[in-house]
Amino acid sequence: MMTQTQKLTYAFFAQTVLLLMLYAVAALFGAAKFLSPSDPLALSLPYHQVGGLANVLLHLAALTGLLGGGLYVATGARGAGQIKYITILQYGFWLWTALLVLAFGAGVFGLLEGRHLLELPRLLDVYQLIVLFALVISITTNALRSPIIRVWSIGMALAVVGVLAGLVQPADYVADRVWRVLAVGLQFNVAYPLAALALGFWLVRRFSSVPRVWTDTGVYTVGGLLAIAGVLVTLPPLFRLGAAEISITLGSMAMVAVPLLYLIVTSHGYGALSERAQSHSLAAHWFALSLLLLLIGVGLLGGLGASVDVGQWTTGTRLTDLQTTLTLLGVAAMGLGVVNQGASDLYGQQRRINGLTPFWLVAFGVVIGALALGGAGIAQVYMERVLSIGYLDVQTLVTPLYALWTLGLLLLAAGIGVYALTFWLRRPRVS
Amino acid sequence: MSGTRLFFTICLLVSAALVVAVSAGAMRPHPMSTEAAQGWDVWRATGCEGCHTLYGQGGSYAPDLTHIFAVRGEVYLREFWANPGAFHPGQRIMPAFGLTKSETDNLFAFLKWVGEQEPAQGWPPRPIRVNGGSPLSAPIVASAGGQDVPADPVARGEYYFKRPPAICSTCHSLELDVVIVGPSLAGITTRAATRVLGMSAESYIRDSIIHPGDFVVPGFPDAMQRNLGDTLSGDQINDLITFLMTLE
Repeated sequence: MMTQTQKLTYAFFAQTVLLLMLYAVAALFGAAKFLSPSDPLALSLPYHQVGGLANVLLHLAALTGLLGGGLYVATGARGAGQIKYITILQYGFWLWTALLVLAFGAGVFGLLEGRHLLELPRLLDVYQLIVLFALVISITTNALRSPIIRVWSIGMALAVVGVLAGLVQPADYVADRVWRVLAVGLQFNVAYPLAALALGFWLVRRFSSVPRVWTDTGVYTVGGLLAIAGVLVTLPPLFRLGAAEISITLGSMAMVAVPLLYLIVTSHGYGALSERAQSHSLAAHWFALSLLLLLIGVGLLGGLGASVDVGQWTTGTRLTDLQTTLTLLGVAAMGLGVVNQGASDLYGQQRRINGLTPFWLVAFGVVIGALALGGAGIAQVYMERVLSIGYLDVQTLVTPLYALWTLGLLLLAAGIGVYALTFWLRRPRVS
Repeated sequence: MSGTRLFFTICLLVSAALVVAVSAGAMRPHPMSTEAAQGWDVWRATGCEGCHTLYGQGGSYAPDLTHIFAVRGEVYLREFWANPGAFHPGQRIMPAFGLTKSETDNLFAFLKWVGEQEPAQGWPPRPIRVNGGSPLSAPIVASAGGQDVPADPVARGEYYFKRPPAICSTCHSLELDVVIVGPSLAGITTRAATRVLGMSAESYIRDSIIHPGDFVVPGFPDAMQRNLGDTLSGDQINDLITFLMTLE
């Protein structure tokens, strides 16, 4: 019989999977619009609505996965412990559910705010801020002594700060861009990777035979490196918005330091993978995929784009899109790893809840999509930005790459679909 | 405090210090006029950033608009805004948002303001065009439309008159006394021969295509695209002139 906390944890897991499914569908809709100018839904369901909805869904999926994972980790073995402030958690969960429904409705009915990657209407952002804060507090106070929860909670606290930064309403548009860079950068480059890697270190204890002291100290080391790397990716773009010239220096440092820092983080993770222990889940696989996506998203693309000399050519191209998408997918993959492990524990039969098929479909889908979108981005940089060929002409020329990108999203959607199906079929029976 | 925990704490503090130090310098005010501020509200409400970028920030479904006001001018933008689907046939369609005149005015004031601010100076390193700029562009669009370019030079000129990258028909009518944006081109050959002393009709027409600001017909705005000399190949310009020279 599941405890109340376990039921709530499982509910968060289910929401994560559902949101990812919805994201995959919305992303496919959006990608299809790039394939041909003759889009029958161009006017009734324009891209800014579909793209905005996809961004919101992926963002909330990553965040929900982090919340569910944090809750599961904070409640001890098999999540069997009882949360101290269970009432706050229960109310928080229902309020979070309401937020997800409202956000989805806002996206479907075209009520999103016109700020790229900060699409939630301000009222919902305030609502999100309060509920997120309450949930993080109720989870953190349950396991304050755990290094993993400490790092996780700092990541989530920075996410709260990021939402707060996005709520600032400056008097002019340039200042608004500064706050947007800070809000998005803090959330995507620092907060989410930090919280995700903390959960990753918990997963390491499940699939690896590394000693506990390795994870308890490693999470701090990795967390510190991630924080520095995330800030180095976030700050240099402020130079063009009027920041001091030190941001140019930071950008040059970022080009070398950020990929290196993320390589160190990744090698830490792969070191744990090389000491595999018996495991009844595929947590190791999702952990490895998450590390790879974060390495490419934040480490490589973020680091290169942070250089002011490189960024002036690449900003606003498909490479920027690829960076944010891979980062969020990396965080979501870690969430799926925790779901995979946690749901398997809750199922209670020492067996996987889903096999390798959904994993490989998602992995191949993301890799194919990333290669295609990366190719389109590089082509866009050289043709549109360097050779000054018209934007519309370049988009026509790279259509085959968009077709490949759509194929990748199809595989991703199929993988998430199979994952969701087996997650549902092997749900814990509540007695 | 253990060594790794101390390391983590130091990294967080250093990160926070960097954020404060760097972003403080970017928090200078950039005053906006009332119209530009209201235009910003319109920009947000219509979700323009979902498709377009400004200063490279935004969606990737449509071109960057940082310098669009300076490049295209208000007259062109008004015509485009009224009927966006007519300007790039065979390309992605922008919805017509049905804004009021004052909302449109404010939006243009906002776009003008954006292009005048510091972040727009020196960025992008090279101009970002909406279309054209390459010899590849004309045949790509022509084949995408499934229509063959005519063999006859006059027919070819008429073909380019009505299609990208020139789309002269957007602003110039071939009907007598019908004004869209620029003057009607009915009878252009006769008028062009007498416009500038010592300049032939053909030279006048060629100069008007490549350097449109040199001779502006009184009563009309100086709103013609400046980049047709780069967008069109020499042969395309010759064909256009051949066609226009038949309009006596």
